[in-house]
Amino acid sequence: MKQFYLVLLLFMFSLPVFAQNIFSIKGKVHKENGEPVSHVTLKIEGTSLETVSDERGRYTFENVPQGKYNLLVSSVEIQPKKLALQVNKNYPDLHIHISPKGDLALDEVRVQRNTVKREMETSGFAVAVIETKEASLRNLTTNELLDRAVGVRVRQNGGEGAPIEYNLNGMSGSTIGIFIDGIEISTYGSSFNLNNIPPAMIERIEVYKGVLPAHLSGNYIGGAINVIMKKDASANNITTAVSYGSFNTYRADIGGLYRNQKNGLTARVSGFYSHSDNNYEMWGKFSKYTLSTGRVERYNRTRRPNDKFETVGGRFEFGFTDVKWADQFFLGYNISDSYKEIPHGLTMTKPYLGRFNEYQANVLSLNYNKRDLLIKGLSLNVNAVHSMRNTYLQDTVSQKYNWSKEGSGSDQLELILAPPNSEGEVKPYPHQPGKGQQDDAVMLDSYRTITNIRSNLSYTLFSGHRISLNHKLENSGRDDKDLLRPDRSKWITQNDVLTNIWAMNYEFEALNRKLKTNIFGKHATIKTTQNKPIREVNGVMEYERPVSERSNQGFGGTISYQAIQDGFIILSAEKSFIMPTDRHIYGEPENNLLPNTDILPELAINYNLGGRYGISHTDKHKINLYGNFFWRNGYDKITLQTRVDPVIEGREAQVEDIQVSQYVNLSKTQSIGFEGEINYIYDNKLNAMLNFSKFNSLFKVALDEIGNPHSLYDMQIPNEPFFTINANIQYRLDNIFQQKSVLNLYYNTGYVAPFNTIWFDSDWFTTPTQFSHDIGASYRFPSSKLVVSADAKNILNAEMYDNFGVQKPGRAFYIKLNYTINNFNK
Amino acid sequence: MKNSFLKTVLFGSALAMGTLVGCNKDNGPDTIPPSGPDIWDRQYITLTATFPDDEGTAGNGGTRAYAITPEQAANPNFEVDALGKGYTLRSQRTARVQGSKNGNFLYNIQYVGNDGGIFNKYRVNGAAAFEDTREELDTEPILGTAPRWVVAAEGIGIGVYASSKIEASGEGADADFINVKSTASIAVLNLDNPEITRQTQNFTIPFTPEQTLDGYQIGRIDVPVLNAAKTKIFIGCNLTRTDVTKKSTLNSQGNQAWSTATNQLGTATLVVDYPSLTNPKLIYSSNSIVNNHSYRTMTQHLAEDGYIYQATANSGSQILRIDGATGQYDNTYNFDLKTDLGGGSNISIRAWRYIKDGEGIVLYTITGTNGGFVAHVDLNSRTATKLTGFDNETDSGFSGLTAAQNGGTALTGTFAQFQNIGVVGNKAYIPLTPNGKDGNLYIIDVPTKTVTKGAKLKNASGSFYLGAY
Repeated sequence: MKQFYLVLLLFMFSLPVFAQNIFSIKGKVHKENGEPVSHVTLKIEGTSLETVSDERGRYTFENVPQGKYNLLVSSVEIQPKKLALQVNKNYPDLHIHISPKGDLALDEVRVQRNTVKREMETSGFAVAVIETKEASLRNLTTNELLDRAVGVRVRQNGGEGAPIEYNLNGMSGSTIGIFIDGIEISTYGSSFNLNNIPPAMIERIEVYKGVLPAHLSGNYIGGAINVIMKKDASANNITTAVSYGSFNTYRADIGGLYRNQKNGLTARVSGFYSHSDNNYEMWGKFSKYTLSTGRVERYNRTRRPNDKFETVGGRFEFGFTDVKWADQFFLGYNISDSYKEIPHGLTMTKPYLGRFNEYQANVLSLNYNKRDLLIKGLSLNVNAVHSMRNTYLQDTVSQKYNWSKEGSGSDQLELILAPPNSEGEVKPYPHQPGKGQQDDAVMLDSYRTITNIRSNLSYTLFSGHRISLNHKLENSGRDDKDLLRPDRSKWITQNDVLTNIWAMNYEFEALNRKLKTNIFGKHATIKTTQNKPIREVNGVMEYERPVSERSNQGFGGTISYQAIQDGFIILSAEKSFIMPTDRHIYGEPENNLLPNTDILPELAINYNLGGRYGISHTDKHKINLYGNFFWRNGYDKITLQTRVDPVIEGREAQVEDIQVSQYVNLSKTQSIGFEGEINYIYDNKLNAMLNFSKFNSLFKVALDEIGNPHSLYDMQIPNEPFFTINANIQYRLDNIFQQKSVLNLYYNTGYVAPFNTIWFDSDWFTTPTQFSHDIGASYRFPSSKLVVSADAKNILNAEMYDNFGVQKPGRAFYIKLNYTINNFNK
Repeated sequence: MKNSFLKTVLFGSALAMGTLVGCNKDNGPDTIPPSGPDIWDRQYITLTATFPDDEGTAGNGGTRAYAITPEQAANPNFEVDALGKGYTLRSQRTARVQGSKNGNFLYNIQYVGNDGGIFNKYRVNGAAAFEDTREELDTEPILGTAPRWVVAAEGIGIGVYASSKIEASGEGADADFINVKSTASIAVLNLDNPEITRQTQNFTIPFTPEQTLDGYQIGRIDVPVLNAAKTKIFIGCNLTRTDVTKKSTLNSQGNQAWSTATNQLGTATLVVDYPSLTNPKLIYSSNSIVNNHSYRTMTQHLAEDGYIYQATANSGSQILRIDGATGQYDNTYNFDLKTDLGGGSNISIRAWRYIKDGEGIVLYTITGTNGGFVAHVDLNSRTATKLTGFDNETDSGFSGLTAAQNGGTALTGTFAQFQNIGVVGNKAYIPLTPNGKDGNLYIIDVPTKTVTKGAKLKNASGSFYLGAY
């Protein structure tokens, strides 16, 4: 008898996770060529549920209780086979593929996650879901992964660990919320962010553009990046990886999961370490060397010193999963620590020596979720985080440095030689007591405590109608200490901020579940209490405590309509305000961010209209198309600008000579654009993807200061990367070198069109074309335990810039070993 | 495959050869070397205009330049569109542009941004053709990223920087003033063969101990000028005085703030020896207490009589003079323009230029009056004459309006930012455009005080023309 293997196909147009206890599973059993297979017996082990496929291969299970099962598939033609299946939603298209060849074990996790991806992407929001499973085996950072997603541009000011700004189709900066499991990532401190969380710790990343769902409500109008940490608690496993690469970059991560199947006790532990010297070569226009005459030589090829980045962190979660009183209950502790040298200011004008940041964070968390809490259809999800985080900035070296000269044989900074002094001598610039590399010497310690609780209560009124209530409470306090001038510390104004956000949404489905809608409204209040020192009387500080309270509302909705088989029309819109945050108003001295007390709230009205269509005439070829038209209207848009303090009578002394940034209102803007993605899959071997985003971010102030039509009206706003393309190809080869091994080959390319940094064209104020190519390969050994991957990035050594003429790394090579032990205690 | 590679290489070399041939042509006998001193006759008058930044803040985004011939300049039917067609000078914010005597070179030190503090030199080749000589200097280690500099004498640029620091009895509020120290830095630039020839850093500005204890300090210096013998540099000062009787208060950053008291020393000028940059001295005028550090334009000029004529710009109304030989104020000389021009109000000299034979041209505003005005000054007879023949001179776009006056958004005034009055022979060239409105280039025949309307200047929102070179 012929041997058959079964492959569960990942076709999954299922509905959002509604609070139901009973689910249905439907699908089709067919052969490779699509020919239906009838008379196949399907049985859900441990239940009385059993069915047989009909002459069209169709089968149906109604009323499957939630839980984990084995699906037993058997017929006269094939050997019985068990497929693991987790039922927590409806599967309207769970097709079973009987393949005459191949040796694939079922990848149940993958099926599930793809389902989530597809489900979310057709839910009505303009959302891209990035899966990390593949990437976690390769030499890719979370930021690189994000940068490849449609409509996402990650702008990093240098190498690994350098400050980052995320641009989602022209919306950027503070308008973008970045979350970990729905909690603002800033809660976890600068030592635990997308710069250092390895993809291996992440389940998936959701990128919402323009319109945010109720559960991510906050002070954001541009979109959100929500990182979903690993949630799966199905199989005990340990995974570990180490990698090494260019610029003395080495990383390691480890993760483990244990679940006691009897009592549901679950432990999930993960940790990471990463180090990079970031000493990559720079040779572009902004790479300079200054002679003792002051003469500047450009295109000075040198390596970048003093840019070391080191980070270590751990995440420990203990709790129960799938027990009577909770679907998930976890208590967690997250600890992280990073060290980052600051090699120069916002631009590369002068190199810094000895300026660095240290970040630490201790975070406690509680996570609880339960469906059918007390009554059927009611579910509760609570995520509470309390963090104690610390930021330290030091800059106490006062001498002035030069980049190392090309051909000098050293990469270390040189002391810059001053032009002839009064005696006509050429010497290095002298030490300047009280000065640091950037400005005044500084040793600043900022301590913050943040409590962040997000709760979601939802109730299914009746089938297809669900109402949810979201609440977010955030309370933060800070304590800054000037360690260099300890007496000054007590005079620093500290702010306590209490944020309350209420959001409600109503979801319903109609037209045989082809139409899905979601309507939501949000209300936020932000209460800031300043502790402003007034005077000191007999050693006791007296404070003035002005309280300011601001509130804002917003509303929006989404519609998804499945117009044809595999084709969806997706529409979303939102009107929302955001209040300036602490960061905007009071600045962050450790990040050269100036205060702006006059900053106004920002209003946005965003629309998205898009579609998704899947073509799969045969099982071998699959094409998925996605397109989205977006229209963003920003009023009093808050943007970050490099600037100096204007001339103010009486305080001309120092401030203005520092390169700093500041948040300002850009009166009125409009961004109209289109993003698209095409994905072609051939026979589970070839996976090719191309996406692009093109938008016009336009200045929309109609009248100038004197009431005339504004001559900049409708001009492209400077400093926006308005056209990006990403493409990648993956090709899978089986049984190379060894039987049952899998070799994957990868190619990736990214293109960013040049953009001006001022209103007019100028060679000197244009961020040039960025076009890079990466290649990689990963090899899975037959045991499936060991995966080795090698990557070469920017193989043509292209000159890359994101910001302000700061050159990014050129060609680089990395290698990574991954080792997985699965089901060690099953 | 190989074949196509070969083709590429061949094509590449052909291109390279073409480029080389092209270069040869450019470097033919007719062409002028791109740098060096300005040894040629005047061919062009360059106009500069500034445009808004990303945010739309007027005149804060950068500078474009456009060169026209003297014939075009004098033609009221000729339209200049420096903003639309000009060459973008390298500066993230408004460049501080200076010119050589015959207008064949422009010099600029970039104001903040990627290359804040970088000096550039451009050869003026007409219209938007400016050739960057690529002779860049980095003045940032000495002067910071927002340098204050001018051409102090033909071929010599001088950049200056000063700061002051108060010593107090403690941190925060309620501290007592103890003392204050002011320091300065100077860099001398050879503009003909660009390099920094001399610098001095953080020398103490020589107040007497009594003066510093009394709260006197200088937080900013500007407009350095050389005397005729090129032995001394005279630098305008922002002299302020902390009220030492009052305790400190606190600003929102937790930093100390202090009250100010009235300056009783008089307008101050810092004098140092050239070229050694040693022997700093402070001299004071007994005729004024208004500061003379100006804003973006040169307000000290050396006349044929050896005196340095210094305006108390840009808030005062006086012209004072310093004897270039002795290095002292001539306190017998006090020319207050208010007498002739002010009526009952105060006037502020926003920019001025010495032409020759004791005559000059002044741009001024009148406190409480919209508009920007032009006057002829005779330094010898100490008379000022308001000139007429300018369109829209009462436009608030010259003097600026506060946000309250302008319905919420402040209007930046052209005169506050004005950089340079061009001089060719007896003639002064002044581009006058109110913020956001079109205007004209005006040509003044100084001895006859005749005003002629020249080329039309096309303007744009949040923009204005700010110099002729």
